[in-house]
Amino acid sequence: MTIPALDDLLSHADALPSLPEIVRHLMRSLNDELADVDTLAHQINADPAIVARLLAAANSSAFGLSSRIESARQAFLVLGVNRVTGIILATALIRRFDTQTQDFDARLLWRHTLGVATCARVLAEQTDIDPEIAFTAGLLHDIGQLLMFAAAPEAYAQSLALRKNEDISILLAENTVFGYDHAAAGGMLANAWKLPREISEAISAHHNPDDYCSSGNPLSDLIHVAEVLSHALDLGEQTNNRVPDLSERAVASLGLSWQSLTGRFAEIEARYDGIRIALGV
Amino acid sequence: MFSSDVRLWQTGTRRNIMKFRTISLAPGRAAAGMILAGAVIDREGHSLLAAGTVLDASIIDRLSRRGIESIAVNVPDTRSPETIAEALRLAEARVALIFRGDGNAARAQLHSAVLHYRQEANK
Repeated sequence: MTIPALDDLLSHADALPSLPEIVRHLMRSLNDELADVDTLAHQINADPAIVARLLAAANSSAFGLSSRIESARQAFLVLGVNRVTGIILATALIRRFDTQTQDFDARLLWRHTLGVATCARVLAEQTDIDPEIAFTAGLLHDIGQLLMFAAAPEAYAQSLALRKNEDISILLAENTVFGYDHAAAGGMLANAWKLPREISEAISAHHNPDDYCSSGNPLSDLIHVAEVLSHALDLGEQTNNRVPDLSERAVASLGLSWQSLTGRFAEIEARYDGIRIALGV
Repeated sequence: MFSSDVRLWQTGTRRNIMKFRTISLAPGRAAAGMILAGAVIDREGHSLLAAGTVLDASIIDRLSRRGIESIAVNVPDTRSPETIAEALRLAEARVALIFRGDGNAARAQLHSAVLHYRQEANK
């Protein structure tokens, strides 16, 4: 069983499908207040598979619309740019990285990432962080697991088995087998994909934000809290789910309080349910 | 779901007690006839609908079109006391399981918040 060193991991990134061009474009447009519906719809129409998935999601029972949405432009106009962008990002990523083997089921990973993305969006609404950037970072935060599995499927399966059998964290299991973990691998891949710096930092820091707090990136703290909250609310988690430790500093620096957030737990669960239905995962 | 209330009404000489509970749903999960438990506010803070509004297909459609991802509605609570007690027992056991093992103080605070939420939801 060959285990690649962290520095060599990116040479295995070719085993992963590349990030769809429309996803790169949408990530850039998240920060672009001038992005208009016609331009976005035109660009999306260049990828019929993404249009088909967008229309399937928009017409799913999650939205309960009384008339059908027939085009990408109509989807933008009816559901709004932010929500359609979120749907396109999620569907593109989920379908592009749809690995299902006996040892590794990407569907389970995507259910978890949708939970984290939903929590991130709701938490961001309580702060100054852009909720759509938070949602995107939530979707991508575990991308390192896909890279590690693509690079060394046998070793990654061993990590998953170790986690389950010893009831330890995935981080500890990965470090035991590989000598590094998916947060480090994911941050490196995000840099290679030239994702926005704040997103790649959040991916690297999502388990240990206190080690990265000097970077002053509130998105890192937010994705960490969203990760822990998603586990705590059992959003798309497996039977052996275990809530990881939570950084008290991250919660405080974001100005979050569980006393007020508890009132939004039911809303988080309902929003997660809606996006999960829309995306069919 | 996070609250419940009891309402009385007269039917001839019989006095019935109907218990309601509040649940949160994606608009697509809602059904005509459900009653809003709270006002619906959009992302810009505008109030779209008042508490007590009875939903119909047209309203549900408009909620989705306005970007609303979740609504709270009151629904009749037809569960027996035994069913509620069993749901509470299972919810508390699940919370204990997922928060198993040692953890730091911040995790313990989250544990308390989630346990309180599950207990309120299963009253």
